[in-house]
Amino acid sequence: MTSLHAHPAAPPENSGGQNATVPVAKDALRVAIIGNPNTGKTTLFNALTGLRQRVGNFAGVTVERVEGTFKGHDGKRVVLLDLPGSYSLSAGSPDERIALEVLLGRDQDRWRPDVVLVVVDAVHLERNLFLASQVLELGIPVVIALNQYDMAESEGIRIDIPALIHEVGVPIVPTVAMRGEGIDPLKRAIAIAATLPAPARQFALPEIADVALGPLAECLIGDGFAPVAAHMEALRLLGVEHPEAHVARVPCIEGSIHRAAESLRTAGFVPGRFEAEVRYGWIAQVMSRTVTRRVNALLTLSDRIDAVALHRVWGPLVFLLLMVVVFQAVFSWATPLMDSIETFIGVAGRTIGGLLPPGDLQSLVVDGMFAGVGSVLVFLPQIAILFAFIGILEHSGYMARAAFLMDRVMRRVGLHGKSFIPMLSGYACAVPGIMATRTIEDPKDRLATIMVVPLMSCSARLPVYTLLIGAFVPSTSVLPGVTLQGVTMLIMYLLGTLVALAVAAIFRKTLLKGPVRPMILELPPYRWPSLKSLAVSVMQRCQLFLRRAGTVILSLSILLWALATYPKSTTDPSLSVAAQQEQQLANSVLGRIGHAIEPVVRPLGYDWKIGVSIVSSFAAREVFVSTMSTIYGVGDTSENAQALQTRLVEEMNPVTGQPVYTPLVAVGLMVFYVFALMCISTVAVTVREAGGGRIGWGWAALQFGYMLVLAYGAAWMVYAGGRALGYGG
Amino acid sequence: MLADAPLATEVSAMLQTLVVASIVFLAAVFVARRVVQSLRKAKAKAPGGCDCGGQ
Repeated sequence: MTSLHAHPAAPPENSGGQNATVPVAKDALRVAIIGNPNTGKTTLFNALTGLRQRVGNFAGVTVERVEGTFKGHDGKRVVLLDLPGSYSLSAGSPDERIALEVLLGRDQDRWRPDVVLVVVDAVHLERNLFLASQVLELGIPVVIALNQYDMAESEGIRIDIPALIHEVGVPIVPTVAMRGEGIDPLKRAIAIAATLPAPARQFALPEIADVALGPLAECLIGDGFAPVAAHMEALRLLGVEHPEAHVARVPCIEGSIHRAAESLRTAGFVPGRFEAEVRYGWIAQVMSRTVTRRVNALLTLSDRIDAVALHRVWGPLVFLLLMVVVFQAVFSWATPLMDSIETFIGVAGRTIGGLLPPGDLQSLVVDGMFAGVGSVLVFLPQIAILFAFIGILEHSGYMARAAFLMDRVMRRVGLHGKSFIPMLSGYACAVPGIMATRTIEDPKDRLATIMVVPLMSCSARLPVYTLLIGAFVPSTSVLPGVTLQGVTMLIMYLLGTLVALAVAAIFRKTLLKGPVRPMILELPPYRWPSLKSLAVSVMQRCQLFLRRAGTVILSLSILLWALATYPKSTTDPSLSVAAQQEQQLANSVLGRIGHAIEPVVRPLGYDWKIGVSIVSSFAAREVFVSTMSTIYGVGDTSENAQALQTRLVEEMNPVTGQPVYTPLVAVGLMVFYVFALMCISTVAVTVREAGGGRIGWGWAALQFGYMLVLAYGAAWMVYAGGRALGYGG
Repeated sequence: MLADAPLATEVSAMLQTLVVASIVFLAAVFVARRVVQSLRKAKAKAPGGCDCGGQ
């Protein structure tokens, strides 16, 4: 048990491998930085610490912990800990729980700050002051950074800072973290704050409430809470459904909360809303004394755009139109760049292959490495274009509108509006998407979202879609500037999204039954996206893709080449070279595995080569393309991605003499990839985020299983249904 | 010199096999390590963990 009076804090105890606590000199000042999401907290953290940062995890959990250091105004070393963004200390989500535990000195590291730096968004001062008012009652000196001060001014918000300091009772420094403005005064304020007494609650509770909450506060003080923090906790616990871990084990807690709530109810208050009412009551007074506004032209423009973008009918149409433009651009704009990369890889492969003597080494380099990695690398321009568009939609403020439009749909299927962001992240990659569910408070909402995020078409599926669409879907124009290829791509993305919503609805009505909670969403004003930040996000995505191609895809391509090449078998010399290669491939390990699984994939219209490519892509989806490239490339040094598409179109079944790949098979295959969970990393992150251990593995197995059944069933329905309708195949 | 030609071809072939085997071995080790890393990550518990099991 740690007394909150312990000041200065005890040195950190390294509780095992995971944390990243910077060794703190005894005289170093510990500062925790906290703020609402989107207040520029991390930008301010970076502005203060520069590159002197260390990233790890909070002990015992996987919430990222970032610590940095800087030299304080008085020359003293300052250690700054970045706490997860939180709207309040109500500890609804796992991230908020960590913030509260650190501030109360009850996290596993026992890292108790000497000063808390609260980052407040000057544009949304009213909402941000809620968290600040809670932090003021923790018994720790506080400094407030009034960030994005320039934006507040440009939006006509005038804040009387001396008056605000007077009202709140702590140093307040206006900052513009993006431009590094106000950083020096902020450092000075932190040094001064450490010498000041800790602030206290700035408003008085009704007397009856004081009396009702007294025994609850006493119960907490008895467990080692500092008196000031205990009163904050008592007020906070009234609005919490179940006490969190750090207070749940206090023996008198349940009874004390119950009695306090009863007393308040008798006095005519609603206990669940009491804290919000008293805090917002105080905030309203502060705002009326310190802030003035004038109507702003920019807001009016945003409002005018929103009249269309959020319209009941026009809104979804605008959204759909934007999506059509995005996917069409992914297809048509990328082509010239893809052709250049393809030519370059082809030339490089042939040149390097030419330097090597004919034999297995040459085949490994040309058919394994260059064909395997090259076939995936050509999709880099498409990845860049897709993420440039996603970036523009995010930075311009449109994504928040899309979330608003989707909230209606989300709630209909029983998901929380906050589920939209993890699902949107799933378009990039399911791993960050699943990790983004940490912002969802309700465990059932969170788990339902985790279960469906991998159904969103991630960037690893893009190469598979592009290969098959490019080969089998004609580029006929369906609308001016829109081709059937672009529309097919959009349909694949929509299919994944719609099925994700349907599956979520099933989970919320069965295994994960529970009430639907409303979402409060902040709509930022529209703004021009910054080219620099757009470029950075696209570059980061491209780097990830390249790193993956150079490591995982390369290694798997080499292994697949070995499986497709060995053991060597004697072939019939009377056959053509192509037939001999086919015979060798069929006798290889890969060929034998393929033939063994052929009966399973045959009902879907697939031959053994598709079957083995699907099996190999269980490690990573893009490997489907590289396996295809390796299978069709072994022994042929002139292959490249374009030729792969041609090879697929020309591939004939040796028994029937019919094409192996018909448009029906190709569509079925794409549908299979829309639904199948073929990614080891996603399985691992689901295990972890669903609770780890047996429970985590159980949910991951369920996720993998239902997606596989869905993929197989849907691909079969496409193939069998298409044939029944006379589409051939 | 002519008598050495088949030997040189044989050595070259052996070297090639050795290089190919090493590359394939390294790739296998890399993939195995990635799989083990993923499984290790899965062992770590998420914040608060979801306690919905058994529902």
